[in-house]
Amino acid sequence: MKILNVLVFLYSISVTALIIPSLVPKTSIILLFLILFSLVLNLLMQTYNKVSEYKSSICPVFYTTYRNFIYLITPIIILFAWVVTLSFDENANKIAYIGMILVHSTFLLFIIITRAYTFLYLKSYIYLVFIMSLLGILASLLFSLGILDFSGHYVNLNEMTHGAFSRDENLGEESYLFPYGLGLILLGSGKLSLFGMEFYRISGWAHEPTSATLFIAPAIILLIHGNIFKNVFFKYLMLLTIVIFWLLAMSVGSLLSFLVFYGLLTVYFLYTRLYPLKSSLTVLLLTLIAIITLIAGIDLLLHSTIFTTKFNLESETMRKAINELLWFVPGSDKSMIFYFSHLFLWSLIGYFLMIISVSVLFLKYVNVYVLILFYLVLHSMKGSQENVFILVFTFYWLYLALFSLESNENFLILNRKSHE
Amino acid sequence: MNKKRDLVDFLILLECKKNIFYTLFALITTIFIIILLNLNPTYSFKKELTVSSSNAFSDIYQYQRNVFTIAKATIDTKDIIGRDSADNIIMTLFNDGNFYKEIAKEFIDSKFNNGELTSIQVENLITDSIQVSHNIKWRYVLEIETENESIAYFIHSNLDEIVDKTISKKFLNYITKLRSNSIGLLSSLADYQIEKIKLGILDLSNNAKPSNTSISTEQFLTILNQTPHKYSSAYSSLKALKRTEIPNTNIRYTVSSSSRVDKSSSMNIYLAFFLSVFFSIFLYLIYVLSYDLKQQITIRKGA
Repeated sequence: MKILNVLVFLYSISVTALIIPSLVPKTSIILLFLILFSLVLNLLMQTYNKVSEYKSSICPVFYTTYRNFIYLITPIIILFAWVVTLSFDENANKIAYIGMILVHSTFLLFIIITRAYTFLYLKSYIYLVFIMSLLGILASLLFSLGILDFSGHYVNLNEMTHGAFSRDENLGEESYLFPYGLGLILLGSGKLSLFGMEFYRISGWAHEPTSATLFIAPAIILLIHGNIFKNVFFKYLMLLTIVIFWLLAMSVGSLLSFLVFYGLLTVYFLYTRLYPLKSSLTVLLLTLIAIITLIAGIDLLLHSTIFTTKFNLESETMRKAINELLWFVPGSDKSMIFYFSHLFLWSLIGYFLMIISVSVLFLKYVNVYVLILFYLVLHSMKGSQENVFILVFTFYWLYLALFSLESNENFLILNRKSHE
Repeated sequence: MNKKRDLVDFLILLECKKNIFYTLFALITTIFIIILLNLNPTYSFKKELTVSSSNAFSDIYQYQRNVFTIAKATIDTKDIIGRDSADNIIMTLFNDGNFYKEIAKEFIDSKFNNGELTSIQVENLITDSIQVSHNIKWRYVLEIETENESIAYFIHSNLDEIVDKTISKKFLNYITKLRSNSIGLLSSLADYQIEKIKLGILDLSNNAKPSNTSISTEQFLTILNQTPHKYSSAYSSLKALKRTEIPNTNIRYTVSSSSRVDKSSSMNIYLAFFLSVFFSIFLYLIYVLSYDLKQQITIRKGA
């Protein structure tokens, strides 16, 4: 039962976030049947009663109260309203939208019913990220060292996933390199340079570095701030591997998100603890080193294509990010469907922000799941809101954050119970 | 003294210092307004060029077929220029520096030119202002955006004509060459045929003379020189080809439609407002944090 539940969980969070599930045609239907099958089995075997399997000091516990259900169902209702508005578009794939809502609803039920396995889910998710990172680094190493012949390993994702991913629709047969299925190397967008070094970016089993880093970021945060793994060596080995993969993927969106994320977290930490001397000096020193390094390498940085292609008002990335942030601005090319769908999309983002605010402002603590939620919101602000907030993966962290608000406080990373 | 604080304390501090935010916001918004007022406006519009239907090319098609038939050449559809060729020409035009030179030249000679720019400047501005996308066969979407008003309006009203004129020149060039090549070919063939007859008369005595005639070799040669078409099929074709008239190539090769020229600020006003809010909040937070840090240092010094 454990194995089945873990597999269904990994399959669910990987759909659309990674390419592997999309290699199978009609993957949503298969997933839906798998979830339903697993649900029935779990109900028959009454696994939801195995509360003993909780690692209550690490994982949040879900209390089945009416109020909690409302909190969990609300984002799915907003998502439903969002896809209903999208389905008014004449080119919309209505069947896919229905499938998406069904997958989200059944996944929520699955998570509640199998809540005893939450700790196992988190562990298996980190293992998946670790394996993906390790193999991705290996693929990159093999490619850059030119050890093997890769002539037969060029792929076109659009063809490979039967049109599920359209990033390389018109880029020909050699848009990606997928050596021995280890991990994708982006050839289509060409070599990018950073501080004078030229390299091809990697994306593991995701279709682009942004998606890959979105998928691995919660694992990084969990490994740094959570206490899922007791073995310190193994924990840091995994963290190091995932961070190396993150660097090789070189997603500017993720880089900025982590900068803002840890910048705000540091300020929050210093402020709430009244600027402890050691920490304040360390932060000051690190900031100074960063500024000096930046000034020294400004010329190289300004000639790094990884930044020049992104931080350009005419670049597609920048235009998309600005357009998504200014979606409410009137424009002749925007339809009513666009405004309404964005209204619901931003309501969903608002809901995520509300959970974060409730945690920080009213409950006066920040736990690792709220941090992950905050990172996901920041990451999506590069213009990928529409892709991030439909993922089962994103919703899973929301559910965990909601569970954690109600459960014990042992796993909190920053908390304050009272004024002294 | 509080040893720990939370975000609510910070919000209270922000509330206390809200006047700083208003001041910063007013200041930054003023700066953005000044920037916006000093930025040159941009002029933009969309133009769609569609290659005219095959009917528009009927005379050109017919002429080429006639030439090939007269010259008794095998017609290969690739050799016949028409709608597809016009499409290919447009496709290459916008990647050809000479075409932009041609537009610049037309602009300088037009009433739109106020003499402020040199031809190189005009050429550069025109090259930078046109973006072409060609996703559907025979259809080109041009996005034009420039800071120069005269160039924007010139392109708006003259670009399709210049495109047509350029295609016309290329078509005329091709057809003239086709005609002259065919004439050259036929006249060589006619000369060869006549020479062959002449040689036959001279070498084989009367073998080549028309039968049942009593005319001499000299008389026959005179007749041959006067009416060569009677004895040489190539000469007849040559005569027929010379009689054909080159079709009018000054036709509408493209059908165009344009949106009106939009004058807008180089920076989106909403973006400017958004940025001023963002920078105001950012600087405000920096100020409040610095203020708080200073307070803490003062308190600790006192303690």
